[in-house]
Amino acid sequence: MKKYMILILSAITLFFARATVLEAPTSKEELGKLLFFDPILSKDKTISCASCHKPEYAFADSSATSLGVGGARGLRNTPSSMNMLLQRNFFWDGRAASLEEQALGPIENPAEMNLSLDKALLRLRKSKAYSSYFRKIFGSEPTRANLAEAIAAFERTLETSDSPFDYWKFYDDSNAVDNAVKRGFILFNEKGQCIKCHFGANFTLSEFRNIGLFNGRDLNDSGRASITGKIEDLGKFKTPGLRNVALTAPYMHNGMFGSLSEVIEFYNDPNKIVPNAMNRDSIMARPLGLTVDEKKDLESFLLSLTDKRFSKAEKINVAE
Amino acid sequence: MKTTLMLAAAALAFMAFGLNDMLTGRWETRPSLKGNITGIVFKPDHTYEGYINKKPFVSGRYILKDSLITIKEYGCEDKTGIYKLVLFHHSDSLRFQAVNDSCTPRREGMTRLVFGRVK
Repeated sequence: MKKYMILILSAITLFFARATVLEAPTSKEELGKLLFFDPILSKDKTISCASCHKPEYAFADSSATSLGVGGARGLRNTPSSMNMLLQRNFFWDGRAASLEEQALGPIENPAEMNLSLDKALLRLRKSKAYSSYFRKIFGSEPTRANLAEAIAAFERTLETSDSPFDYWKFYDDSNAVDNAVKRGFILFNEKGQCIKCHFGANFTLSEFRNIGLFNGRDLNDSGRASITGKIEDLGKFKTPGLRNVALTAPYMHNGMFGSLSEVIEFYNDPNKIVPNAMNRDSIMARPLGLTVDEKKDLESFLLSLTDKRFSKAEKINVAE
Repeated sequence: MKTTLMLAAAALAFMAFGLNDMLTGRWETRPSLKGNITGIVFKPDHTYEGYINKKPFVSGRYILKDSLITIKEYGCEDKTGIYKLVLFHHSDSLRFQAVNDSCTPRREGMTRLVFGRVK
């Protein structure tokens, strides 16, 4: 009887051991994905990267600012983690020059995961599973460098190029978008002047601009200036990319606009929304004078930048 | 002898199809060190689309006269660029030599890339 019990227990152990092996990451991208969704990197093990970079919102958050460990509230809107491959700088103020540098920032940030990197690495080293994954993939215990490398590698897999706009332009399928999108694209490039900042494969030049959301009073985030110390950088923030923008509301560095139509209203006549802005970019010196229909067309164009992985049928697999 | 024949064949192809026809179609670079592929599609209606990693980033119009291509696109503040087309390897490879383009980012991008025809 005892013999049978041992055999059965051994079989169960083997089954689970095999299951664990099957699920174990085999590349730094897979390891990065595991870490991205694991709250192990936050102080009280309640917050993961994915708590704020939610797959269903194109790896952004749906609230103006996100909650960190212990209910601490961040100061800026969570940007999307998607389409980072071609970006030159990271965070709204550009304080990270590489995705690896960016990946470690939120772990130590008191308003986010609030865990020192030393402690995070100690936790990973103490974890039998993580310790073995890192050894297998990097040939060493978890370190600051390979932790950053794994998370960044996963983030680099989050590229999207399957939107109706892509089908129209890349595959030359003029039926992929309707006429409102086509008109909106012209407005984006001409009357709307959006392209002056939102130029490129991800619709950003990765530059820093003051779009007039700084007045030194109720809007007092100094943005890029807090990194460079330059007065001319006051109120400047990185131009975000626009792929999947329909999913990443609310908008702007402080999440002050709840919808794309609000954003378009703002750009159409910034003075009407924020009359006392300081050093607003000269590109925005005059109202655009968009008509109601033009605003709708512009919004239609922005909606066409949503990748097909976010269509209802495929929503469940957005992280893959 | 072989080289002469190849040159003659290229010349005949050029005469038969013209530069416009040779240019029309999809061209792509080899992957860069970071793995990025830049491409451009020249369409028969004298428009073109540029892209990186299948992501379109520029739309414009072109005029081709002799071996000079004049381009104008969204971006670059409507500045026109003039380039000399250099087709080689039996017209399967393409380079752009800047003749006149005051849009620095475009000039730097265009002249450092070598494109191969996508068949």
